[in-house]
Amino acid sequence: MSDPVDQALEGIRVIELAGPEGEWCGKLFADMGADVIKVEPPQGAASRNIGPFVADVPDGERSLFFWHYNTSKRSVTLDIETEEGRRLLRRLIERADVFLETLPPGRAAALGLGYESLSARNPRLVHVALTPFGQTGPYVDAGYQTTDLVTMALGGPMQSCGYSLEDGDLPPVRPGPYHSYHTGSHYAFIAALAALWERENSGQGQYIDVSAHAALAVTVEFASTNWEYERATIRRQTGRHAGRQPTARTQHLCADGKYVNLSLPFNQDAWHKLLAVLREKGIDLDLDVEALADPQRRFALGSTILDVLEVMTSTMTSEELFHLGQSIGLTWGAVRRPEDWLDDPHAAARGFFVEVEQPEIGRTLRYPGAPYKFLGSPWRLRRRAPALGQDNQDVYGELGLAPADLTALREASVI
Amino acid sequence: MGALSGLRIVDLGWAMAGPQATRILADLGAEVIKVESNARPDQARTTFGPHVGERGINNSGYFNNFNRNKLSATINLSLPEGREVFKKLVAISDGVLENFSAGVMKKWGLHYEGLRAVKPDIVYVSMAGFGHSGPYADYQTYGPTVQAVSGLTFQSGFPDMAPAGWGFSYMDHTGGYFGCMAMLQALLYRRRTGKGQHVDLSQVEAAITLTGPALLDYQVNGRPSARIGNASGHPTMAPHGVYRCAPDESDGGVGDDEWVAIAVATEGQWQAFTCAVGHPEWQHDPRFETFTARLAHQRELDGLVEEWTRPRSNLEVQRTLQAAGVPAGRVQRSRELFEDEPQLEHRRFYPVLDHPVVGRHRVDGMPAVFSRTPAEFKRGGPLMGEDNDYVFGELLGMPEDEIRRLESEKVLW
Repeated sequence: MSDPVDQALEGIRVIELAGPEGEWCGKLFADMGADVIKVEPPQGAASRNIGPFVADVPDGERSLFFWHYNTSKRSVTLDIETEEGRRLLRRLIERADVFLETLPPGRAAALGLGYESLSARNPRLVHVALTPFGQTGPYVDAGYQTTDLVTMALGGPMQSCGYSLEDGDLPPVRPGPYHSYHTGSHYAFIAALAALWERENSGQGQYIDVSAHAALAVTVEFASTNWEYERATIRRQTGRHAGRQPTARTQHLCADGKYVNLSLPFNQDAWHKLLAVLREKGIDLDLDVEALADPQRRFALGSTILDVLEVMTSTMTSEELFHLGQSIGLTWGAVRRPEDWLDDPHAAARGFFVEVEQPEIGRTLRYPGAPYKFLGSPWRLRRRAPALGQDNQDVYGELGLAPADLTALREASVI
Repeated sequence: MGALSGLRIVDLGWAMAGPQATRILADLGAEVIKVESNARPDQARTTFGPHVGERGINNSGYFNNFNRNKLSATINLSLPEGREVFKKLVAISDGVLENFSAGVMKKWGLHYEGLRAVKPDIVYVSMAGFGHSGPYADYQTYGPTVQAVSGLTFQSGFPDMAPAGWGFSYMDHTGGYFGCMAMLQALLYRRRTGKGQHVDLSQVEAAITLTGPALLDYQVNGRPSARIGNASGHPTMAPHGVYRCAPDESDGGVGDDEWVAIAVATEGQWQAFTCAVGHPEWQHDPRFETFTARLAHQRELDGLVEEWTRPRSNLEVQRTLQAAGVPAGRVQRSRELFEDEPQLEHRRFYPVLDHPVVGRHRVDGMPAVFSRTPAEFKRGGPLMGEDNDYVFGELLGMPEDEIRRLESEKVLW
């Protein structure tokens, strides 16, 4: 209770030796106040080569992927292929609370960075190893290679994502990029936090083996219980939940060429309000309104009701329908593009986006802000993603290295 | 003992996002007390199946999966006397988590300000769709709304088609993950400062944070968000896609719906790939001999790849390509994940739990393996009010006759 603490994770030091699959975890730490030291090889982290790039010019300092996933971190370079580099890294880890790494299984131990040896020097260390399949097992033995797409396929979410048969006999779809990275990182972060909590009781850290594949396997909602209880498989449907039987279409094309996601009005109050809106708009209700007073009947006749609503969706914009539905208590939502939020009044009122100075392009950019609004110890994007090795002097200085030592290390290509 | 043993969390989560957050806390050892009521049962009990036997309040497999390891105490919060008991419970707890629409807890006087009066250092995590402030604070959501509005739905699907979106409530899971993170971080902060706080989590905002590169690309390069189907995007790869395989005759009714994902990332993998599929000559085909050429001829290449995968089972394709060092994996359903997944089996991934009504069943496991404080799976999802005696009697010290009286008056109900 003595030191003034501003952010929830202030005072926690994280050494991040992570590929793109673990950088989201590091960012979650960093934006909450942890001192995340990103350890990069002298040529830069692999994610610096991931586009898109500023003006589409590939360059380690122009990757927008890197910019997003590495905010609030510090960057140091060191070559873990050299003994001197590994020695430096071990010294960094000795002073850290968390070691976050995504090395292939076995590699950390081969480099002298196994938990056994690290914890001997720093028993309070929380060592989080995030990999596609975990540290051991048949996929690891067989040397399985993977990417975001392949992990999403093996993990289970993709089977439920795609199109209804009536829209074409099409493959499952990867539902947007990097969600195997996100989901693996979410479990890595939660596990690290739990271990940090436990450490306050026991005084000891521990080793945590996180599998992105397993994390995805528990991120499939109804699929697992349908199998476990009824040996049933659910089938993909366009723009809505996969189902055992086809369900009513909820995604509709609007007058402005965008889509809206509608839901059926189960709630009586919302149903009556919706009927009033339809009448007011002069939309012919070819429906047995009396029979539909029963919510169960409305569920059974979902497609019929949504067909009537289509008359309305084809004459209104996606945004109009979103706000209309919400105004009468329905969970309707516009299918927005992410950038539609940049000018949204709700985001503005909550101060969601964060302005970040980007001198190299001579302007500020708006980054997505807090995933959770801490009203007592704020989330804060403290600085933009670091340039390669930007913090060598500060971080190695904190280890007691003099400028001359750094020069020597640089000349030996260690940093 | 789990990492979080000793923590007590009052859980007002219902449906899915809230229960997902507290499911992890409970698996890791926290005492999670689910406060619910027959007056307003968690819809996961009643609406979300599959139910074992006729639909009831204690026999949903889905509820069992998302609420294992938790306790259930029934309190009718719409009655003033119920709210008083609830406050007593909060007074001996570390955290409260709720995912009601904004305004519900305030109406009952059980919002952060109301509960801080009885427990000054309480950590209070709310998880409304749009958060508790701003013009959309009263808007209501479920997973598909959050995904649609945030931009996640838009990013999923083929470019010349409507959005495919997500075939499940990804943001109920992921909103839950953020809720869990929020609770743990606020508790760590309290441990160091003595201060509780309110965390106002907006599931929509949490979802938008997952679209960062697209938001920056739009601002920097003026490039609008797009759907790219199963193409690689960044980093760029070719071939990269999901290819049809031979139908699985043993599959109960699913039929011709077997697929494999293949992603060829490096030049070495490309060479290995061409050999593994028996077409080393592709390396010298002008359409494919360089990476740029392969990108320019992706469609033709995809057609040829599928000619090779189509007569083969997706497992055979996965094994053949992985043996050659090429990233490939079949698109797995829960059938495969539960019954035919050596890697998950190696991790003993699906724990089996007994439940007095639904019986003995597997539940989703814990993706993080702790060396010293492993997750523990002790019991199935609680029956409605199963732990009333423990919570009201043992924890709150209420005499048994008073508990019975309040139960019969539908206060503890």
